[in-house]
Amino acid sequence: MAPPSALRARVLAAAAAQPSPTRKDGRRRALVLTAISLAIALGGFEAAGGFGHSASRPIGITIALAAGWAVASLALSIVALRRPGRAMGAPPLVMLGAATLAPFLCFAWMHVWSGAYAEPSPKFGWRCIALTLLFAATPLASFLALRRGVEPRMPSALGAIAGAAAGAWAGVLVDLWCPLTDTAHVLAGHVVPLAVLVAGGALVGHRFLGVARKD
Amino acid sequence: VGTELEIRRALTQAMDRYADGDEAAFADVYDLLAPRLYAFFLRQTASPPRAEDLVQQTLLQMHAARMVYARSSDVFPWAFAIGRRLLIDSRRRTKKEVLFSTAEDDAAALDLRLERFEVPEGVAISKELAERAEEELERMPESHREAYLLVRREGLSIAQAAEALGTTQTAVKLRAHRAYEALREVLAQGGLDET
Repeated sequence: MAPPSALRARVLAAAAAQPSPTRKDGRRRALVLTAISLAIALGGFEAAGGFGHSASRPIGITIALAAGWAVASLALSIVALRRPGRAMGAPPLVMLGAATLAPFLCFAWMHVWSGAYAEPSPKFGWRCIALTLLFAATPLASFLALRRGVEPRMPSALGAIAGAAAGAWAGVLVDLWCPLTDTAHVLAGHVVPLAVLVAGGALVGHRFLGVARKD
Repeated sequence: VGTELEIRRALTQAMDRYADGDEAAFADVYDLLAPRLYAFFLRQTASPPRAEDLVQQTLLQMHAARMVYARSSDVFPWAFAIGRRLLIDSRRRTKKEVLFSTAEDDAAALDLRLERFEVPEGVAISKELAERAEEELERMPESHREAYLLVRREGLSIAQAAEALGTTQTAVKLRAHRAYEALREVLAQGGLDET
């Protein structure tokens, strides 16, 4: 059951007619987009007041909080990006499971520190929501652009884990900025935006990351 | 087994070269992959033109996605995962399609079924069994059929099929086994065992 010989010429001609980026191009694009994402996030962080905004909280707690989110971010990024010997990376169910768990774990970690110090007056957390979404938007959009149309299995799972990773990294900066850890604020200002990014990533991933015909 | 391993290794090396920008390597990728994909699509669609179209689409997807191809990774699961997705989309678009509309198509489809089950063409009863096995294959859940075809027909390992289907190895084993049992039952009723 060999394919007809004319098909070979047709496929090679079609590929030659539509040049595609190489791995080197991909690395260059990823580097540029990462640099842009970092610049936007750090610029936004400084513009919002930087470390000074959380100065009322003991520095050790601030660092511990951010470190916990950083560990979660790193783990989520590994699940989303690392693909040793596997062309498609982690199994979709692993991606989906990790993305779903992320908001719960991050909430649990922040809850550990609730009441450990005298907090400033509680606030709903609109600025935390805005900053998380702002910091996460560029890396998430970059990832979706770089991986557009290449996920053949479950694009929503890849989108969800990308949203979780971008949201968790954004959460690291927001933790360094925000002095509050009371439960209501953490849920509204830190966990909800992360969950929104997971759900949004899944929806957008479903729409844009999946393999589709090239006609 | 040695040849199979060599093919996989050669395919990985060719895809690596192509992802690194060696344009000529795409011909090697085609030569190593297209026959397997074509056989897979032909079995799934029983339509040579559709199989050709799906081979072309799969390879063009790989061409477009070479930027994200992970170095030294197994190409087969990736290629079959792309192919499977395109096949599902193609089926959705042509849900009401009549596959065998002419007498000539009918004959080709029958040949294909016989070839699929490696039944001697001269044995009349085998044709009926092949038909029944074919019907059973089409009747079973798609997930079972895919697992069975990838493992039993395309020779992918359980791990590779699991990667291609985006599920666990246990699920692939279970699905392929259920498909196998269903086919065996059908064939055993007529005294022919699916091997």
